[in-house]
Amino acid sequence: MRHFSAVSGLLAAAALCAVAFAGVQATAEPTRGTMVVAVNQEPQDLAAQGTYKEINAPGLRNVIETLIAVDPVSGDFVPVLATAWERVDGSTLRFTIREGVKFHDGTDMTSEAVAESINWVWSTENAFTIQEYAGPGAITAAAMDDSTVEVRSSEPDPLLEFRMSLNGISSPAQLAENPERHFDTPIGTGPYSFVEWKQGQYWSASFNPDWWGMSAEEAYGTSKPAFSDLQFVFRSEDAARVAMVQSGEAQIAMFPSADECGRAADADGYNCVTGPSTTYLYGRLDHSLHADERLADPRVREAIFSAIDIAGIVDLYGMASVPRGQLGPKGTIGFNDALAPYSYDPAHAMELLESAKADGIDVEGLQIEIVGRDTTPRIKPIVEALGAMLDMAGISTDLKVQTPAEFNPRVRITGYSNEPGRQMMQVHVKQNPSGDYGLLLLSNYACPNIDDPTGPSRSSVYCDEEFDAKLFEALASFGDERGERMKELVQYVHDRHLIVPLALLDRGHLVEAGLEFTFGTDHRIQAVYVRPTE
Amino acid sequence: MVYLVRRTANSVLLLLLTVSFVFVAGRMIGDPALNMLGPGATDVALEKLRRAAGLNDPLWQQYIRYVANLLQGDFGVSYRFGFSVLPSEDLDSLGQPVIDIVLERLPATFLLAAVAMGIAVPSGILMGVVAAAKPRSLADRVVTVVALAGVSVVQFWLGLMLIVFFSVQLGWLPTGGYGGLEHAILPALTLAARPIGRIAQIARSAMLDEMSKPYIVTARAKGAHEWRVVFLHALKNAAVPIITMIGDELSALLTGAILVEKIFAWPGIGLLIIDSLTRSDLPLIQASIAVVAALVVLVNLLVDLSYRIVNPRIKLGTEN
Repeated sequence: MRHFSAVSGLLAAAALCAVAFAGVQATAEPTRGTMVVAVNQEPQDLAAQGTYKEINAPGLRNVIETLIAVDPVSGDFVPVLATAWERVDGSTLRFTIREGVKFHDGTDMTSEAVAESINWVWSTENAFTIQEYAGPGAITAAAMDDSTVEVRSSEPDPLLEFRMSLNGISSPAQLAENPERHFDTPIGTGPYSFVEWKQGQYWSASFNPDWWGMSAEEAYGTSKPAFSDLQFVFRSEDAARVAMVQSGEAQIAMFPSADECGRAADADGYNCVTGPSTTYLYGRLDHSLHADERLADPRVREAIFSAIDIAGIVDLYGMASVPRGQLGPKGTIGFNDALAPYSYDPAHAMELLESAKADGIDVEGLQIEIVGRDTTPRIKPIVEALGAMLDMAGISTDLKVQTPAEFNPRVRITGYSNEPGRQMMQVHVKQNPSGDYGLLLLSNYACPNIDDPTGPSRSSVYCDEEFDAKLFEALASFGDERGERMKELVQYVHDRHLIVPLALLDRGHLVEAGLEFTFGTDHRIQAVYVRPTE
Repeated sequence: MVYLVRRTANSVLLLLLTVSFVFVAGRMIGDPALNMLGPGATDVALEKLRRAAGLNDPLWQQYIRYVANLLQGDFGVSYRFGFSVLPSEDLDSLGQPVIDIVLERLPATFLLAAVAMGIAVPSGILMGVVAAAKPRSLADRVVTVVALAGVSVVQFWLGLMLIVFFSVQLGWLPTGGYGGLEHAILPALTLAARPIGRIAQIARSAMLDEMSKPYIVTARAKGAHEWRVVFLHALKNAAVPIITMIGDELSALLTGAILVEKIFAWPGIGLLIIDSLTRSDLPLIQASIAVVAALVVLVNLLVDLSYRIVNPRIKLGTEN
């Protein structure tokens, strides 16, 4: 029996509908034992702010929940810990919180607790990584009465609902009484309560019999937890994760390689569940800040982009598609239909370099440092391929794959501002789960502020006053006007050859035969949505 | 006894040099506070950590404090979770003592090393002896090829092949993880391949050397049984280079089973060192390397002392 299901958004919708409407009987208590998920890396921590992370905190959403979530099928916001919400004005949201919810430590989820938790997560002093999804304004929250929380941005923020969908709500009692445990012992409200984290091995959780979601179908539909316990086992090798499922040790292997996943599904009847994601692989050239002045020449930049065979990179990565000359997938607000992928034309690249050389630019002395982070899947062959492509066009390269400790500081303003005259192409993956170009443009292209190194643009190397002025107008706009403004900006940065989109990544999971797993574009593994097939 | 005292003093000196080197190196690769908290850390958080960890003090003061704490068994606390963002500035009350983290990983490292050497030592010696007993025979040729394969095989490939065969195809053993002895078998087999090869090679060479000596001829002439000649006479005298090789391989297992620990998700000291380097957790890096260095020094000391046990004619610490 062979199953290979490439689940597109449409099929995901169908599968979810099947779960919701086709007679799957929800049971009151889990009927199966432990669900083991082989994940590709150990969490950096299990703090509430990490609930938004796809890779660095896999599984955390089973323990810590958000006020609202994005429906993986419709893209609409759906209630979770909030039962209702409304826009007060462009910068304020008012939430009605669910009554009778308790944190796993037994304390009540009051409006004060929710406000305190939001303020902790978005605190600029804490400077958690969720700041990469911060908007133009600072976010604060306050309890208005027993059941109402008001969240306010210091600037008008059309994406405030989205930001709240990232914000994990955890027990403020823990912060007051046992703050050192906040990072390794999550206390949320979810269907599973945290049990232990054996560092270097796994973290685990067990079913929460008092979970509010058992009787709130508007939040999770009719799906109920089928497993009594969860265990997230850390296995960095693709083949080892796949082997865990094949040997029956795990039910799900996260992010196997395309080859491994397809082969296992073809040969053994497992399900290779794949689907599009909001994650993109890109190459960012140094430009305005601390960059070698030769990279400011548009011909040199276009030559570098023309030397790259994007379709080849996509083939090399597997489970990916060619981006349309921009970082977001079709459907993102601001997606520009007029754009096409940068064309692969080594001869044109050489002509451009000759032209630059004729104008006195020392093209021969140029050496592009192509740098990837070793936690990015298949990064080494990708960096090597990019190096070979540039070499073929006569552009010298220096190839590096670095650990996060080396790589991260070089990406951000606080680190690269110490590097002189750099010629670096940073090859990295990023996500844009917002469905809007605002965050993407802000984080990748807005001029960073060395005096505010935690801001959302901290990883940008581009400074352009004209662009920034237009961007901040666009960020404050709503509706169709917002979409049009974003489109114009997407074209603007495309024409300047600042970042080359290399691949829009699909994500995949190898799932044990007999289990049905659906996921949205955010790919969080939520046990509620893993069901035995009928 | 004098040798033991002198040797121990040398070992302590070596350890001091090692931890001093790691201390200086950790401060040469940039601002330790920035490395620990990451580039997104605010100035407030960085300053809080620098003050609490004493990083604003002159380097020599930090070094003296570090060594003094070390002598009392205090290796510091891990800052992996960026604790300095919390209200308290009392880091010792917030961070986990790094020595606890290191000691928690040691049993896994010991178990893996013990099982790997438990496989490698008898197998390697037996292969070497069998090969040397009948030079240029089929057995000798097979042993030579197998030993060469063991030394040359890529651990990454071997580990995955063992998983596919024993875990996926046969379903006999777990694919990895830490638990009972059954979890240790595949990583230990992967690790044992190289020591088996090297011990077999050195045992064969040392045994060939011994087997050609006059006392072997004499023993045979006296009618001693061949197994007695080989195992009791020749092997005993060939033991010194074999023990040296075993010591070398054991040290390598204690310090560098990183790749195998990664493939099999074995939570040993090698994986911890990589994790601590990845997270720039300076106190954890320092403690891990200090403990590993102490283990290597101890293994080498025990190897030296064992020479005297296997061959009482050896006088430790003298020219002879």
